[in-house]
Amino acid sequence: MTTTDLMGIPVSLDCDAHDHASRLAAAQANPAEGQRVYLNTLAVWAVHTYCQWLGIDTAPSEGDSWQPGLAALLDVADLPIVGMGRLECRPVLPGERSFRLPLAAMGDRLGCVAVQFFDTLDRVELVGFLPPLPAESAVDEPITIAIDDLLPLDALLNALHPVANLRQWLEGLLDGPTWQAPEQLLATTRYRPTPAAARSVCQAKSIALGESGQPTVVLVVQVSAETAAVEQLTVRLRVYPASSKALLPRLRVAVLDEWGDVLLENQTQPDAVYTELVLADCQPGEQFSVRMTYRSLSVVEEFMV
Amino acid sequence: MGDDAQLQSWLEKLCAPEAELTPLGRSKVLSRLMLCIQRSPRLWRDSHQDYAMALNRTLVWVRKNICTFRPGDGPISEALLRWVNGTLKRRVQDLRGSRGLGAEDDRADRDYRRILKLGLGSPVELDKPIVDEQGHATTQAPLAADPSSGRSTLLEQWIERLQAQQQQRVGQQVRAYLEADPHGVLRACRSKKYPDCHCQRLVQGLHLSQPPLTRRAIAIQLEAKEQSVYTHWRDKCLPLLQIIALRHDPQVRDYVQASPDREFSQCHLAGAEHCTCLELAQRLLLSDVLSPLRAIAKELRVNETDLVAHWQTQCLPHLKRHRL
Repeated sequence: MTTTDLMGIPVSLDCDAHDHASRLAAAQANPAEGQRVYLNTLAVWAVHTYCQWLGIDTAPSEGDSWQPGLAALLDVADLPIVGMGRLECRPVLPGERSFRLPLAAMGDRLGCVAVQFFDTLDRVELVGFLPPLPAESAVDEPITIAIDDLLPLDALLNALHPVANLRQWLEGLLDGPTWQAPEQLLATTRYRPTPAAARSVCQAKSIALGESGQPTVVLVVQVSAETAAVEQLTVRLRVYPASSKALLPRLRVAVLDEWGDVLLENQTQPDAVYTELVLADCQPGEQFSVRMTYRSLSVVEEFMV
Repeated sequence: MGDDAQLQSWLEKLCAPEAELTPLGRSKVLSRLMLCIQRSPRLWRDSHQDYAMALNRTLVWVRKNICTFRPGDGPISEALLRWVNGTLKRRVQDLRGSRGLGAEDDRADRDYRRILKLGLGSPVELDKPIVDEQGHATTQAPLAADPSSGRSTLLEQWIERLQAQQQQRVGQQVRAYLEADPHGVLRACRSKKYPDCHCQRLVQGLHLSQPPLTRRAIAIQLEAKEQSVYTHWRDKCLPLLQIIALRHDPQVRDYVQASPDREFSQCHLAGAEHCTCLELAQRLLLSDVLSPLRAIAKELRVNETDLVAHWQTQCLPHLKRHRL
């Protein structure tokens, strides 16, 4: 791939962006405040524009940075993402390789997108993503973030498409109530846990393969690590019929990588009680999805390691 | 542009009949496709003032229509850029037509390196040429300090002129209000445990003083726990500041005064039909003196926490959406 890392995405700033930024800047107390608000507004607009390209719903007008009175006081450049929360969009001045993240821009954010400005104000580049700071980090004053320390924008897209995080499962952060203990969904006569490694967790989800009357299956995901120190995980995927009296319908089960390429595939056997696929040596940050195809219908579940 | 095999692979993934890609995977592939398009030397570029808008709309169109693209014979990258450029040029023409620009205006836009500010005074050149002693002209960047004026940037100078044209400056009024706290509303919003920890003190320290104080420094001054200072700021002061900001915003006040739509008028706190967003907005934004939320909750005989949650989650987003 010629553009492996998703960094430096150019966004053209149109007349509407400047028109809006100038109206907010004109309402401020002095030129320096006005310039801060102007650049914050353009940074928000740029990330909003990128989201529009991809069909991600945003609500910029609901952000604090869109309110002239609040923008006067709070150095924030927030972009609400519908149904998710707020992204911070920080301007990076021309020629600079770092930016300042104010305290007001740290709380309750999905993360921060750095927006590089240039000598002309007709375009910017989205240069990277900073994930949310850990809740326990006791930050008391603005921090400076180097562009080189940012993640590619794939991390932003991950944040905007939350999927089951298997490493967090191991740390006890389960995705309930969607995912439950297998014993809650499967009869114990049918489901027998696989002998566990040093660290292991098992979760299950009921999946309908179409409208009512069509079969329902249970996807069981067991995540394990050989030792607490080992980062690679083994993921064992099993598909069971939901009813203890039923057999599996004729299914194709495939594991796909983040680009949609098939890594593993299995077809259920007649009279099978379950079908199984095992992913070994899963690395931190890897993503995969499980696709279950029944007749012409496909259901996909996404995971992050 | 990237190699054609890569492009071919992305197109196959995006348009596979069995929908191989998850929504996340689709966003990642689309992002790379759009990055490739914009980095391609074959992308049509123009200095027309509507070009940026046309390009952004074209990229939205690419996302929606990529599966109708037929490369035909020859390199796929060339075909893709021809396809994109065709739409991009049409969109520029459409925008030009909708603005009523004739051929004369268009020629003037050819060299456009200015940002036009419609409705805010004359067009302003934000990257003005500087001629040195030898007569060589260079362009000054809008964010670089202007050597002729000392420290301020061209953008700041231009914003200063915009600000001078404004009859009302919401930001300026809000700062002045917070500095003065004329009705004592900010001072009255104090921590139960640390009475000196009130919103006026916090806003003064955190945002109005230069340089701003840290929360830790304020906590030491107040002999209070830092976490208590932070919690009071987040839970009590920030909501109050939002209300103060809206009270100074003529667009919002006009909206509330002009009997807003039914959704806003009828959206009420569960179990308290009289506690509608309109009722709250009128009390909070139009009253001569801002009443504390606690007092309003008491008058309306509802729980203060419920009232604040209703205001924050239902009424405030509606008002913000309406504003612009």
